[in-house]
Amino acid sequence: MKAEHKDRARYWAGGTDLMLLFKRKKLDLDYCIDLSHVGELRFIDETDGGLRIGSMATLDDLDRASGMNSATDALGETTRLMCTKQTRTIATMGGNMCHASPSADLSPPLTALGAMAVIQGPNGERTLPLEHFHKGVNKTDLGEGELLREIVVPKISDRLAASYNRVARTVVDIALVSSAVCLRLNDDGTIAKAGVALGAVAPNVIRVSGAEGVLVGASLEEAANGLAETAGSQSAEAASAITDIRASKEYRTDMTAVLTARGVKKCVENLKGMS
Amino acid sequence: MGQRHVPKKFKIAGKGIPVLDAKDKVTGELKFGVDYELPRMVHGKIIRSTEPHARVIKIDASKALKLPGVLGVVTHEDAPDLNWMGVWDNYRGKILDGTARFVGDDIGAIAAVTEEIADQALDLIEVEYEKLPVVLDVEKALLDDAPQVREEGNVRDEYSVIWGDLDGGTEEADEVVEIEMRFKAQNYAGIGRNACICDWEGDKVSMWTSSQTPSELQQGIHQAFGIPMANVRVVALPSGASFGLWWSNNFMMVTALLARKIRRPVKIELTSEECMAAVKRRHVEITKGRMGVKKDGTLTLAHFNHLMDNGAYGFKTDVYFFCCDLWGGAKNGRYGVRGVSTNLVTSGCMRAVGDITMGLAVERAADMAAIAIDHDPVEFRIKNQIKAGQSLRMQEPRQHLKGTLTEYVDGLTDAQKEGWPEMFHLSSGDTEALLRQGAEKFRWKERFKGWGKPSSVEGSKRRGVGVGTGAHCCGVEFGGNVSSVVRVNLDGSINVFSACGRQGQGSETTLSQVAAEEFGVPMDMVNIETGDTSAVPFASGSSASTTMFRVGWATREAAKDAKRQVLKIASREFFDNIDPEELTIDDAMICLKHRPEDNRRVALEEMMNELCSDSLAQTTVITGRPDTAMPPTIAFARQWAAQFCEVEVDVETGVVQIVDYLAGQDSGTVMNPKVLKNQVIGGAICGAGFALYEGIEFDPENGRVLNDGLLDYKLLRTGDFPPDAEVFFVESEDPVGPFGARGAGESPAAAAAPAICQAVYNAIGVWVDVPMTPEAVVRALKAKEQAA
Amino acid sequence: MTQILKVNGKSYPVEIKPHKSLSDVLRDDLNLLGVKVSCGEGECGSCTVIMDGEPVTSCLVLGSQAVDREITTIEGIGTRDHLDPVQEAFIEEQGFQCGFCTPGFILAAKKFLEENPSPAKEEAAVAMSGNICRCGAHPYIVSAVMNAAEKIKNLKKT
Repeated sequence: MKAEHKDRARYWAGGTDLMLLFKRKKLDLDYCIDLSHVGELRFIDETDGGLRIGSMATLDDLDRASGMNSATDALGETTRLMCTKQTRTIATMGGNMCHASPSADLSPPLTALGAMAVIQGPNGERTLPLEHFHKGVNKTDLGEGELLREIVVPKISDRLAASYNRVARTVVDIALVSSAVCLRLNDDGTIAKAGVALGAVAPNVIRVSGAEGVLVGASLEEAANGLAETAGSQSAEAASAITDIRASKEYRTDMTAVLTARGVKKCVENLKGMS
Repeated sequence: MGQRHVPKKFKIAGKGIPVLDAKDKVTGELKFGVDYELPRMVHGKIIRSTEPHARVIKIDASKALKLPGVLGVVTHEDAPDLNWMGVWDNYRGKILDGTARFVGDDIGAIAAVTEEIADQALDLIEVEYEKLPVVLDVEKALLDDAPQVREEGNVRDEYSVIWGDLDGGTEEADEVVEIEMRFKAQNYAGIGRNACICDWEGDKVSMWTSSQTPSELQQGIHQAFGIPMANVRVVALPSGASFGLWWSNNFMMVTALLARKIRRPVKIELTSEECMAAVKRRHVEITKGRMGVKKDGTLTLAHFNHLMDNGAYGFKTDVYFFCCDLWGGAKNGRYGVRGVSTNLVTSGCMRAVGDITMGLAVERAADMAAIAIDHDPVEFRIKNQIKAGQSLRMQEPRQHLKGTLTEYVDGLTDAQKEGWPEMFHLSSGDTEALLRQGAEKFRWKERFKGWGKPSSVEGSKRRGVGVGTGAHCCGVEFGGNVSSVVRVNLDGSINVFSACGRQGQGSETTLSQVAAEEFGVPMDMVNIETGDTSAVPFASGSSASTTMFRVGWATREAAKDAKRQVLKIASREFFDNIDPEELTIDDAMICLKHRPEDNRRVALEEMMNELCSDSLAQTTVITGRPDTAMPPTIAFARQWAAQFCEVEVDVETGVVQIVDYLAGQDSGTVMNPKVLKNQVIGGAICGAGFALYEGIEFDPENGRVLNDGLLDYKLLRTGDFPPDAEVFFVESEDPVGPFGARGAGESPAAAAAPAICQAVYNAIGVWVDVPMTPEAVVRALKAKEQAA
Repeated sequence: MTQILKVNGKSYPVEIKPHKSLSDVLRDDLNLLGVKVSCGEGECGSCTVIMDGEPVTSCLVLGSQAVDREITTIEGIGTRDHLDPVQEAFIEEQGFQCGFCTPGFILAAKKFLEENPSPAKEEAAVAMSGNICRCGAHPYIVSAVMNAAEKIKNLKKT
């Protein structure tokens, strides 16, 4: 059907973003291909290959999956900040990713966790890192006839912590600016892998390799005392924020530093709590 | 005058009964404007300007009219050449006059058999404009060479309140502080939208719409179409939260115009974006001023100049600020206000108009003065705010229908003024008891650590406490006096007819309580009609905190009058011609007032039946109405609020959280504590939203409202306000208000922002502009750092 | 094409227009006027209904997405004579003013209490944040939820 109608048809996940576009006359379609009935795409599974999240898993499903492991904890915490309860029951992970909004809340934590996008198309399946899945405001790497099947977060060890921090105006708001941090530890207690990703400071989520590099190899003590702030200023440098009615470029840039530093410290605290 | 305790002598007044429509509300059965339909009804959509200022050369609807289902279109060519006036000058203009004055302005309308078709037709209409120069900035609009938005010119006459000697006040002061505050326009952001249905039968018109002001809407239609008021029937329906949005609005007139042209009942239902960008909003305002203070804490000077934009169709000369009375202890003062037209969406009176903006600037200036001499904010308020019985500063509140108010009052005989409180003096209530009791309950002395000092610090989080006060009027006599009618039915039940709105403030319940208490029947024997102008007498609707005080007064007087008539007949028929003054009605029984040993009792129903069967009785229907004039309210009555709060500020992100809240209210006798506490907290939350997040963002190029949805116009939700917030009342009985009650809904909105701003100041040591968004807080902290 | 919508335990044949939201279908085609629509953008929660046991903002759901699902609106949870405990609690605490947002709040509260029968006040305040009360009855909405929790617990005991 999608192949037949191309631009005049859109995949319809939860539809919460598309309904808004309809209402504001910013979207004109002949067909919606409703995926919300496709139960096979609605799952959250912990497997040997990692954490698999089907694209039709709702934000509320992600909330309920909290407690499975430290990644789902962080993702659940993230979804609870998103829209409202009665929209989280409809909105999906896949929709949030494919709408590719700069402030999409799920993108930073998934990116920091090193998530991969699994794409199903007429020519089979392909996989790419989430940060490469996004190609600009409301743009993705999806080709004609392709759809995002699932997101896979690489195997979660029990020596992992992730934290998502953002600034919002009221208790229900989209992120004015956000930062996610994920730290994985070596057996010796030093940081093996670090993920730092920022939201709402670029057309899509960005990874801050500078900040990640600073943290890898460090001890938790070092991370909490000094390196958190360094990772923060690396984040501010990496940001290319804009000014809009929600916030200014300057504020967004400043906050990436604050939020990344907070994320690092929270991860350190969580990891200390685990050991 | 200190606090007077109200003896609990009432049976129904003062009781916290559930509102009459509570079950309708929790079952979803209450119908609003958007829920109504008529047989043969069709749907209209308004053609809106895409230009901020332009002459409409041509509206080409030919393509739209070819769309199946489209019934007709109206433009300025169909509109009468008549101006109509909205309540309190919130609108002045023709229905359509061929000039677009803001992006979104009504320039025509189209009707179709369904809303979808009308919406599609809208996209097929082509409008040709001749662009005119645009002025969006309130200060620029003042200039002589500014583009003129209206034929009357941009600038309205200044309205001012002046007392004492400003130079002397400056001289006398040990410290003079200066302030300049710029206020973004708050959006009504009413949940509930609105719709209007209109139907013409010959030259008679009926309208169903959500409105707080049925009588004035009837009058507006009369003016706009040049037809007798007798031919206009308005059925004002309940609205969602209104705050002054749904009074008489031009979209209602457009609906009537469209219905008149296509000779079918037409419904125009507004989208939420239209409600938020094309109807009305609070003014953009600027206050500049200074206050002088002596070391002993006496204010010697209060001098403020205020500028407000009227948008395109507002026509206000002032914002009805009562902060000048609140801070009336200042020995010398001048408060001046000017209204200026701009090519922005019309602005009008929103809850606590003037007192939420100019009042905040005055409160902040007073705080700065208190800081300069290091006085406690609670004590400083008590020292400098007006007390009951004192002379009001606002001596000449705009013009009365009969010249100035002073001329009107002076022209009356002593007999006509009998029983009136002293004119231009505060009749009852003030902030002192509120501040003293509030400080005690809030443990102010313990929690306030001094100016600019946080009450606690934890990591990046700093807490601070603040106090703020607010005032407003209790209705204003301007568009005519008030009235109510009480009709006694044959079973003794009563119908009350009082024009007012039903926007959630509970007036239908509290007015029924007034009538039941006065007439002497239980609540289930009272039925009230508030919205149908073919039944209710003219009264200024629910605006300017009128309803409890003025309509309540009229309702009580009407009930008294009906009771007098009943008792006169009862005396003759059942009580051996005893002086009717000796009789009363209690729980629907007519009995003797002061002789409990004489337990003759006659059921009201029996007496009414007697009346019905007695051919000598002049009428079987007893109808009561006020038979005296109400003293001019604005010359003596005010409402008072004092609020205390604690905030937590994250100094790294700038996020402000309100963590504790206490709201004190003196609105005289509390008619219904459940209703009033809701009004008070609702006001506080409206003010808190204004303090923290609310403000319209206009496109700098064309003035379009950018945040016309709730995604980017942020309202406080339950999680943003402390669930343990408390309300307390001081009940200073008013000599005129019904059973001592006064107005209530607006002063709580005015007191909130000063309290929250002061708390933020105390937490972080710097004043922040409103709205105190996270970014504004961080910016202020940075500026403070740079200054240091 | 006529489709069947299951609402408040009854089935209704409805001609669902493709672009029409569930909220509009419920109001226009089924006359369920207790479904209130304000923002139409999923922000205010007025149009909240329960779909397959979950609260949803019905303005963001297509009517056709609701086919084969169980929908409950305010009309389906209580009547004037037999109010749901949540409705009773909202009256007792007066957790409303104008009443426009109230059906949405009540349905959201009902689902919240099923998931969390003994909430802390702060939890209830955050949970009710999916709806907006512009009148500002916030503390009384929260106390209505707390009151309802007690009522439901007491009903279960007896």
